[in-house]
This record gives sequence, structure tokens and C-alpha cells, in this order.
Amino acid sequence: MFLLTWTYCADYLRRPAWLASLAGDFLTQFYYYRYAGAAIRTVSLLVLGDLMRRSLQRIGLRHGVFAIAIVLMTLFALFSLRHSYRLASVIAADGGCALAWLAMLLLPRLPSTRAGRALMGILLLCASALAFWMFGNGGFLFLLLLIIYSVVYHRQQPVWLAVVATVLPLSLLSLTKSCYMMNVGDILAAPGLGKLSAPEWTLEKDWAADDEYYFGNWRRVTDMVEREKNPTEAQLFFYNLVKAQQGELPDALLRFPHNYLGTFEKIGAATPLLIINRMNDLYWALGDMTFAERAAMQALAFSPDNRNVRMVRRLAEINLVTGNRAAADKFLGLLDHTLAYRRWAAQARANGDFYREKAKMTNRCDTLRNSDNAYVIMTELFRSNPRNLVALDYLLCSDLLLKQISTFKRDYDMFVVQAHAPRTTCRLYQQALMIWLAGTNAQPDEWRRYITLPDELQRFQAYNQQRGSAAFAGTYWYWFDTHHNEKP
Amino acid sequence: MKALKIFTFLSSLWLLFACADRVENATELNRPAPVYPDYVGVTIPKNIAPLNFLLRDSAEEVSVTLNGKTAVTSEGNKVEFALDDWHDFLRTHAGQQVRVKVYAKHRGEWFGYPTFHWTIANDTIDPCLTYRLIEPDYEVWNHLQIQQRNLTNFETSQLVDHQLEENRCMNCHEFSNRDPQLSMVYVRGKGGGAILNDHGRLSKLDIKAATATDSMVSSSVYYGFSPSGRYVVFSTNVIIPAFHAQANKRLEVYDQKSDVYVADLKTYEIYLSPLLADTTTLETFPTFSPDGRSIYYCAANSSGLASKNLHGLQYSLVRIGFDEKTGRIGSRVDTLVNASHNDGSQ
Repeated sequence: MFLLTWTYCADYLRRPAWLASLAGDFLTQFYYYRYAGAAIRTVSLLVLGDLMRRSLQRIGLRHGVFAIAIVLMTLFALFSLRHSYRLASVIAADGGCALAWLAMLLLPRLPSTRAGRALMGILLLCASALAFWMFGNGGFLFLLLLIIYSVVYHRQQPVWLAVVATVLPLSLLSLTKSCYMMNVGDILAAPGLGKLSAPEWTLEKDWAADDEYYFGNWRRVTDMVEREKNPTEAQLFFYNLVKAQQGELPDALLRFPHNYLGTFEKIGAATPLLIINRMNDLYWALGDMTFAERAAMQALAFSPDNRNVRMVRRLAEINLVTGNRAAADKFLGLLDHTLAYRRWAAQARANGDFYREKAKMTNRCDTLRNSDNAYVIMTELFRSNPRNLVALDYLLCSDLLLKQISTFKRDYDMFVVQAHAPRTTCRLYQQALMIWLAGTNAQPDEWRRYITLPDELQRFQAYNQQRGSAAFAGTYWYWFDTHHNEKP
Repeated sequence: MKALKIFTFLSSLWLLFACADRVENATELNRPAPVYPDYVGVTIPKNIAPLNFLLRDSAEEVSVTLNGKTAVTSEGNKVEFALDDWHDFLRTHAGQQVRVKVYAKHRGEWFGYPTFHWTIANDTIDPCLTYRLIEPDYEVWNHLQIQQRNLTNFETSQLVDHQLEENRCMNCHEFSNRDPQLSMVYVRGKGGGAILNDHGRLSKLDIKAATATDSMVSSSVYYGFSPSGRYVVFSTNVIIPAFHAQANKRLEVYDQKSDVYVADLKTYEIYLSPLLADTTTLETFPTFSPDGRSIYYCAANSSGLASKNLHGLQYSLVRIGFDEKTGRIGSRVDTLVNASHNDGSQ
């Protein structure tokens, strides 16, 4: 999240590498737009390569300049493969190189007199201080280039003076510890060091599904996941989330044998940020605003500088649903000051009907819960509003993925039969009921009471003749007999 | 050249009038000004920082008069007083009641809200307020500091930062008689403890380890200094966070266990009394009376923990005697306000 206000921007001065962080965060907000993220990263890397090339040429290197620039760009591109590597770090390197290049443009113009040498010392001192102050670890690139330059041109300029002038600000950096309230190591590393890592293909897929879901492109989510042979956990999660809201979760549950609903994840100190984000989406879809808010708050706490615009947006929505207008205005007011989300904030204010409708699905039970026990939450949501079929399907499907047939039967009785929920002709639930009826040697009248699809009953009888046959793949009986699931 | 001068003069005149702080032909409204924070009718100390506020509506411009004189006119719905002007105004109007009139411009038209008052007390307020800054969550944090704010000008400074404490959590901090020379802050986690600041000399008190038996349910949580500064009364609590199903209710925390102890900062001894560590009672929020002869705290029957939604967990305000000379805790607990008589907790 980047707010276009003076106080917000001025706040960057209170941290190391402030200009790199400011520029990086400013540009990162545009990742909201499709392809903008890739374009910005590419440009920042090209700028780095070009500045390095120019700097090396100033140093006098004639051969291999392009190769070195490409190696540097590749190195930073590899750093960028890691999801936690921020744009500010590339900008910091850009800034360090740019300052070094500018210094190298100026240095030859200084007279080779005593006054000129003094001027050189002052220039390098200031440039080095600026490099570390504004670009943090980008200052090391500045330092490296300037020292090489001084060594190469030692006849014109004394090396010792150049080295002292450039290194002095670095040695004084420890004095800023109490100013930044950070350890010297963290100050030197700001805005963040890179680590070499292989492309995170799984995350790539996870975020593709996540993004398409976030932007409301549900069709793309389902198409993307259905094309996959082995979808990732996150892909399955968003696929099911879409299907549940379309009322098709029971039909889609067995499409992938190792399915994942996410209903039994816990939000806690050890929960990874990506899971917390998912929990936020799940509880929002289910209608539990307490835990949607909790997940949003925790995701904010885990995000760099607590600035997670997606969660701020969600907090605004949660408060619109719960009717806490003052809190909603607080979050919408923040979004009003962003370039990418101000239009969304205006739309949210005008979208009262949607949030009022959503409010009907929220939890109205007056209970106190010690943990995010999804089972309890889903039952409370359905009790609060028997039209909340998203909660009902998640509840029953969670039972089925756990193979808890007797729990399923109990929940089915309570929430489908007694509540007259429109799920009595659902094939998946019918198939599961048959397992329970067969397993308990139910009387014929009980079979008649529960089984509403005669053709399904005939298939069940056929299946029992050839248990485990792949001809019945896609039925719950087949999955129940052949699949060993871990967690739903 | 002459034409240019006339043009410049007229432009300057136009700019002057365009920027003038004027509210003309305002339509009076009956509803109160939607001021946030709600500063309507408040009494303020004469050294407080400006009572800046915003109007919770979509005002294009807002103007505020104090005793009929325009103090602020600004675009948007925010009202920010100039710091020096504000303090001058408070100084000259100390002990008086000030009329505050808020005007808002909507769609090019000015509207005036009913006048309200601020009473400026002749008293000043202690300028420093310390607090813990943490995200609205529990278990986790990203930025955690003990901060100090100057109440006269909004300036803040950091007293403790989690990054310089190896990312440890810090909780309640307390001053002896609001004296910054004697204070305490509790640092959680491995290697943590109660950090006592005695006139700039820092020491760590491992209070839990100081007890003879391992009976203390946790280390110190809530505490208060005795008037002499020699003793600290503190509670040890097993705190459970819980969530209301209804989203409009906030996070609930309650104690599963809690007791009250007294620590002698001179002899480094812990005093305990069965009356303050009763297993059937939850004792918490202790503080010394201003004369140091009593300890006030809250107490609830722990059977309330079993009640539905904890509705039966009701705290009474109680008191027990204390002798500062000997460190002896009294032998009788007086109930000052009985929760069961008031149909609710204190």
C-alpha cells in the first residue's frame, strides 16, 4: 500500500535506504495492474545493467563491459525470483550505480591541484554518505565502483583519499542505530539483501490462482486448475472456493483425488502468511467476519511494514458488512489516498446492497470461542442463516474428506433434513449416505427416507458387485475405498 | 508596461480575495457537527496539543471559528490548528469557555453546525504519555515499541524497540507515582524479565524464579508501585484470548488463573498471602492506595469460568491491608463493590 500523502512519504525518512524504499514502494503499487509488475522489474534491471555498463566504461574498461552488466542483471533477476525480494532492493542497486556514475563524471573535471583534491574528498564523502543514506546496501556498489575507479586513476587522484572519503560514511553508520532503532547489520542490509534461489514454480501457480480469484476472474481460476494434472494446494483451495460460491462444491469435490478445502487450517503465530491470506478469503466467503478480520489483521502484521493493501481493502469490506461505518471509513479513507485503489474505495461506498446481502450470511450466535475451530464456525454460520449453503457444503464436504461418515450423517440430519436445505438430491451426499445406510444395516424404510435418486442406488448396487473398479471413479464409494487422504 | 502593472495588481487582488478565509451566507443546520474525535463540550488543560479533528461527512471545505474569530479554513474535511496560534489562544483563554462554530461547504454552499463549547481549564497536564505500540492482534507483531508522546505538541519518541531487544515482546510498563526515574517494563520471552529502571540503573528481576516454590502461574503481568517506590504489587495471570462469534464484539481476554504478589525491591523478596493466591478466586489488576496502606485489586470466583460465554465470571473490587514498614499483607479482604449485587462486573 502506498499513500500519496506528504506525511506518509515523509515517514520514509525515518528508515534506512529511504529513497530506494520510497521509490520501490511507489512503483510496487502498480503491480495491481496486469503485466505492470513484470514491466517495472524489467525496466529496473535494465537500468541497473545500463548504469553498470556506463560506470565500467568511465573506469576505462573496454572489453567485457556488456558481459559484466548482463551478469549483474542476471544476478538481480535471480534475486527477484524469490517472492520476498522487494523492488526497493533493485532500486537501491540502481541508485548506488547512478551515484557512482555521476561521481565519475564529475571527478575528472576537478583540477589536479591541492584544492581540487580537497574538493574530490568532499565530493566523495558526500556522495558516499548520500549513497548509504538514500540507497542503503546500494551504497556498497557505489563504494566498489569508486574504489576501482580511484585505483585505476591513481595517478590523477590519491587512492588513500578516495578510499577514506568513500568508506568514512560506512564506518559512521553505527551511529544511526538509535535513530533508526535497528541493529547495524539490519541498517547495512536495508532495504533487503538478495538470495539466490530457483524459480518458485509452485508459488507461481499458487499466486496465479490467488490473483485471478482476487480480481473476480472465477472462470479463469476453474479453467486454470482443471488444466492441471496435479494442482497445488492453493490452486485446489481457490478452485473449491469458487465452486462453493457457485453452489457446485459437492459436484467438484472428487474431481481431484487429493483435494484440499483449507477448513482445518489454524490461524496462529506459526501459520505462514500465504495460509493466513487464504483463511481470510475462506472466512469471508463463509460469512464469518470475526475470523476474516482476525486473518486480515494477522496478515497485515506479517506483511512488510504492515502495509498490505489487500487486507486493508478486506478490513474495509468487513466493517461495511458488520455495519461499523466509522471503521470502514477509516480503511476506505486510506485507500482514497492510493492511486490504484481509490476507484475501488468509491465503488465500495456505493455498493451498499452487496454488503447488506453479505451481512445476512454472518454469524449471529452469541458465543465465545477460544480458537478458530472451523467445524464450530460452519455450524454456527448455518444456524445463523439456513440459506448459507457455502457454509453447509464446506461443512459436509469436510466431513467427507475426513471419511467421517457418521459425523456426516449427523450433520446431514441436522442441517439438511431438519433445516430443509436444498441438498437432498446432491449425488455426492447421496453416495455418502448409502455408505452409512449400508454400514449400519439400515431398514428399507430408512433407505427410502434418505435416498432420493433411484439411479444412484442402482449404481451403488452395481459398485458393490465390483468394489474398487475404476469404472466408478468419480463416485464417493470409489474414492472412499481407494483413497488415503491426509487432511482436507 | 502600465497595463502589465494593472494586470499584476488585479491578479494579486483576486488572489487575495480568493484565498480569504470567509464563510458567507451559511445555512444553519440543526444537527450537531459530525466531529471526529468527538470533542464537543470537552474540558481541556491549557497546555494540550491542538484539538485537530475531521468532519465525518464529505465536506469540500471546512471553517472553524473560536469565539467568533476564524481559526482555521481548509480544503477537505480536516481541521488542523497551527500549533503556536493554538497555544497562544489557550494561554489567553485559560479558565474560560470558548465558543466553537464549525462550518462546512457542500456543493459550493456553506452550512453552519450548532455552536458547541470547549472549557479551557487553568490546569496543565503532564506532558508525557507512554504506551505500547503494537498491531491490533495478539501472538504476533511486526512493529512493537514502547513510545512516549508529548501531549502538548504530538511529538513521539521511542523508549524501547523490539528490534533492539532481539525481537522480544514487551508488555505493561509502570511508573512509580508518575516518576520516570523509577519505572518498570516487562520483557517477555527467553532471557526476559521485569526490567527495573531505578534512576537510570537498569536491573532485571526474574520474579518467577524468586518464589520459593513453582507456584506462580506466570511472571508478573499487571503491577503497581507502592508510594515509597520500595514495593511492587503485581498479578500473575494465565491469559486466554477468545473470540466472539459476532463480529461487532471485540476480542475477549480472560484469566484462567491469576494471583497477586508483592515484591520488595530492596530485599528482593516476594511476599505472598493465601488470601491473594486463593485457587478458587481470580485476583488481578492490583494497585496500592495513595497512602500505601492498602492494596486494591479485582477478584472473581473462578467457578465463573464454567459459565456459558463467561457471563458468570464477575469481578468485585476488593481491598486488603498492607504495612509498608514490614511488608506484611493484611489478614482480611474487604469487598468494596460486590459484582453480584450490581448484576455485572466492575
